[in-house]
Parts: sequence; structure tokens; C-alpha cells
Amino acid sequence: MSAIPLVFYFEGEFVCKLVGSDTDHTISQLVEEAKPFSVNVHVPDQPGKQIKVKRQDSDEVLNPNATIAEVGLVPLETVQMYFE
Amino acid sequence: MALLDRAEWYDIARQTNWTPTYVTEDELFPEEQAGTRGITLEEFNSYDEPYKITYREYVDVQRQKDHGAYSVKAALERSDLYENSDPGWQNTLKLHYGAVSVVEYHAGLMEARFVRFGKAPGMRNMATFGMLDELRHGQIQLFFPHEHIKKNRQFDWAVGGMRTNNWGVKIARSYFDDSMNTRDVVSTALMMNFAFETGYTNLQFIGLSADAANAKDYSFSKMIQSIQSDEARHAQIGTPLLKMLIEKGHKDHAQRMIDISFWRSWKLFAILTGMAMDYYLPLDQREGSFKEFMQEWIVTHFERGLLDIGLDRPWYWDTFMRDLDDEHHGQHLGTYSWRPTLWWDPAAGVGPDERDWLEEKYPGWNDTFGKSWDVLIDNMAKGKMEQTVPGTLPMMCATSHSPIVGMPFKTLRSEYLDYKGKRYNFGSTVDKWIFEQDPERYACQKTIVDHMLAGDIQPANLEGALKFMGLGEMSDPADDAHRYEWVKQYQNQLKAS
Repeated sequence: MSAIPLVFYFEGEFVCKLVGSDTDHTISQLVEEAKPFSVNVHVPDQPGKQIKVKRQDSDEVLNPNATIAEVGLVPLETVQMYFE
Repeated sequence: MALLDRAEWYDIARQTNWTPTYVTEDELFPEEQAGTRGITLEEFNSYDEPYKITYREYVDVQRQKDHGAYSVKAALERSDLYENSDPGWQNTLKLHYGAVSVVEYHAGLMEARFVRFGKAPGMRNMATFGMLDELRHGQIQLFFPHEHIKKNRQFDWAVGGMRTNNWGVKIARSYFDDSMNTRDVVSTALMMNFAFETGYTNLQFIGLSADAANAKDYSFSKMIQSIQSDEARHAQIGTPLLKMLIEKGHKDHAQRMIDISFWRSWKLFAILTGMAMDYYLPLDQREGSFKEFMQEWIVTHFERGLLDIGLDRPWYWDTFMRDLDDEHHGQHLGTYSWRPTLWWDPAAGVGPDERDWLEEKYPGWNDTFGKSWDVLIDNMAKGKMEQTVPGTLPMMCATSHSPIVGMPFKTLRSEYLDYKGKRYNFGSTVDKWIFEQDPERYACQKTIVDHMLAGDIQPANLEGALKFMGLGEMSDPADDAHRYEWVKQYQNQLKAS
């Protein structure tokens, strides 16, 4: 396990933000780490909907139970988050 | 003693050139400093500056300019114009002085390098006056804000800000280090005199002068008018060089230098001027929108100048035109959201009437940037102030050092490049292209995020970041310029609903 900085933005955001995570954390944990920096700060919450994660420029939704190491995100890679 | 007419001696004096005998021409003008790409000393005799002036005339005109500016200041000093001006205007001044004053001194050093290493005697002559201009600009823009320090410590950033690691300072410093302080004199003249001064300084010094007059700040208005009249003269140093480079087959180099500087200037002025014009100034004092000024001064005048001289539009012109609706709105939301990190108190500028104005000037604003403001405003109206400052850093562009912003739902994305095992993120394809031109030049400069990740900021939280950026030392962390008075309109709407 090792600390990993990532870049993220929610759909509807105006700015990319930094989030610190860990390579052993799952994508679901990453969402929980990033969410307080955007949801209800710059983008409205959408209760009842799930937050999905994609690599920037990819259509493939990342498995929420996979770890950051397993999906192969690299330090300072950008991911998009969106409600569905 | 009778004086000769200028016409009888001027051309001889301004064409005085070196004839090196103890050293070679290359030793006298090292290529690293001169950057003349094989154009000889003799060929540089054809450099013909469009604006000619003698030292006697220069001193006389400059004395009159200084007299005018300082007289207006002295006459208004005892009035309460500053105290009675809108906080949005007061903070436009703090932003301006913190970003500009000391840079003017650096510009004096740039002109001094032209005086020493310019191969063209006419260029050295003009640059001598340019050097004196920039020293004057540094002095006057430190003297004018000095009277305000006793009213507000944030004005101290005029002299001290450029020495800090404040992220806003780093945006300006990285641009000027790149374009003004670290290149040969020919490249520097293209990047600064041509790309920066003939285009962008008009925005800040003419556009803002009109706004200053509307705000009844005649002291500032007169002062920056006097500066711009100098800029308009020494900006012309670049044009004859550009013609020579094109004639000698170096158009590609000239175009690249201008393309780099033009874009980096845009990113800087989107923050420096864009936010002030479209958000900080009270509605009734606005001369026009930032986009309208850009279209007049840059799109019309500068583009025409480029084409007339034989250059092309920058390759990214379409991106630039799109960005006129985009960049400064994102940067304003960003600076306002991270407001404790600033040396000035930002005005939100998003009351109901101001939003109508923004929607009129930038159709679609309410459905894009306005959506993010809706969330911020809702939190403020409900008293959830802790929700209005994000608990993390924005991602910074490795070239421009500004937050990576874009239009919500439309243009936000991060460009990237993997270089020597590290991922670099960029605010646009143009910033990435600039980095690729000379990666070592840019890779060695740490953004605020790089500092955080390297452990330079301790403790690694907001408190540590503020201290690292000079807040809490030179002045307290900033806050809303109007102390949230404008939020009451939304609170009333909330109660009514």
C-alpha cells in the first residue's frame, strides 16, 4: 500500500481538484474521499443516485470494488465522477 | 549656446555602433544573450525604430507625466475617495499592485539587457528609454499604494508579494520568468514588447483606466494612463526585430515565441483583468465586459497587427476564441472559492442583477458557471460557511501555474503528459504544447500542488498552505470583499419561498 495523489472532477464541476488516496483503497473509497471536496460545495448532491467513476476519456466505468492498484491508476491521473 | 536641430544630428547619434577590435563580435554579443541567429552587427544597422525621441525630449515629456500623476494624487489625498469607493474597486487595486508593481522593476532589468546585448543601435537607444520607463513604473506603483497600507495591510503585497510562494504570485512570476527574464534579448523583445505590450497591457492600463474614472479614482486612472503612454512607445522595440527575423528566414522562431507569450499573457490577464471587469466592479461603473475589451483590443487590433507584419494567427486561435467565454469565469469561481489564500478580498459579483448582466454578456452563464455559484450561494444563505471553501487544493497547470478550470458540463478536462516518469497536468492543449517546446524549462518549476506533494508545506493542511503562501504573515487570510452583504438578497428570497 502506498499513498497516491489523484486528480478528479465531478460532472458539473468547473475545476479539477486534488485528492489523496491509497493504492489499496477501492474505487468506492476513493469516491468517499473525493466527495466532500465537491458535492454540496460546487456541485449539488443527487440523493438516491450512485456515483460512478471513469478514467478521463474512457467510457469504461471502474469497478467500485476494485482497488486503485488493480485498475492501474497512476499518480496524478485524472478521473471523472458522475451521478447515475 | 545654439542647439542643432534634432534632424541634423539624430541619425548619426542613434546609429552609433560598436566596432570591436579587442574581442570578436560573438564575444561582445554572446548568442545566448543576443539571440540574433546569425544576423550580423552590420545588418542590424537597418533596424529602424518607428518612434524616435531624444533624451532631452524624453525627460521633458516624462517630467510632465509625473507632474500630472503626482499632482492629481496630492490633490485627492485628503479626500475620502478610497474610503468611499466600493470594496470591489478597492480590491481591484490590491490585486493590481500585488501582481504588477515589482514586475515593473524586473521589466527595467529586461530593458537593461536590451541596452547591453541588443545588436541594433536603434534598439539600444529605445531600450534605454524603456529601462527608465520601467523604473518609473515600479516606483510610482509602489508609491501610490503606500498611502493605503495604513488603511489595509493587503496593500503591502505591492512590495512584498512577489517574494512569496502565493499561488497567484506564482502565476505571474512563472510567466514573467519565462518570457521576460530567462531568454535572449531578441526572443524576449518578441514575447514582451510585441506579444505582451502591444496587446495585453492595453487591457489593464486602458480598460482599467476607464473603469477607474468611473469609480472616481482619478488618481489611479491618471497614473496608469501615464504608464500606458510609455508602454505604447517602448512596445515598438519588437516590431522592427520581427520584420528582420522574417526577412532572414526566422519566421518559425518568431511565430513560436509570440504564440507562447500570447497564450501565457491570456492566462494571466484572464485573472488580473477578467475578474475585475466582470465581477469586482459595481455594475454602474463597468465600461464593458472583459470579452468586449478582448475583442476590441486583442481580436481586432492585435490580430490585424500580426497578419500585417507577415505572421500567422497563433495555431490555437479557435481555442483562444472559445476561452473568452470560459477561462476568467472559472478562475473567478476558483479564486473566490479558495479566497483565504488571496492577498486581496475578492468580490463575488453574483447578486441577482449582476447575474442578469453576466447572462446578457455571456449567454448560457446561468446554466454553466451559475450552477456552481448556486451551490455556493445556497450554502452561504443557509449559513453553512464551512461548506464554501473546499478542503483540498485545485489541480494546477504545470505551465501556467493556475487552476485547471473549464466550463461546467462542457469544457472542463485536464490535458496531461508523462515526462521522465512524472505525470504533468495542463489547463489546455496549448499549455501542454508550450511545455513540450522546452520541457526542462517548465518541469523544474513547482506548482503549489507539487510543493504540497513534496512535503514543502507543513503541516500539510490549509493552515500550512496559508503560511507557505504568505498569509497570516504579510496580511491575514482574505475574505469576501463585501463581507457577504450581497448574500442577504438570497436569504430574503429563501425566506420568501
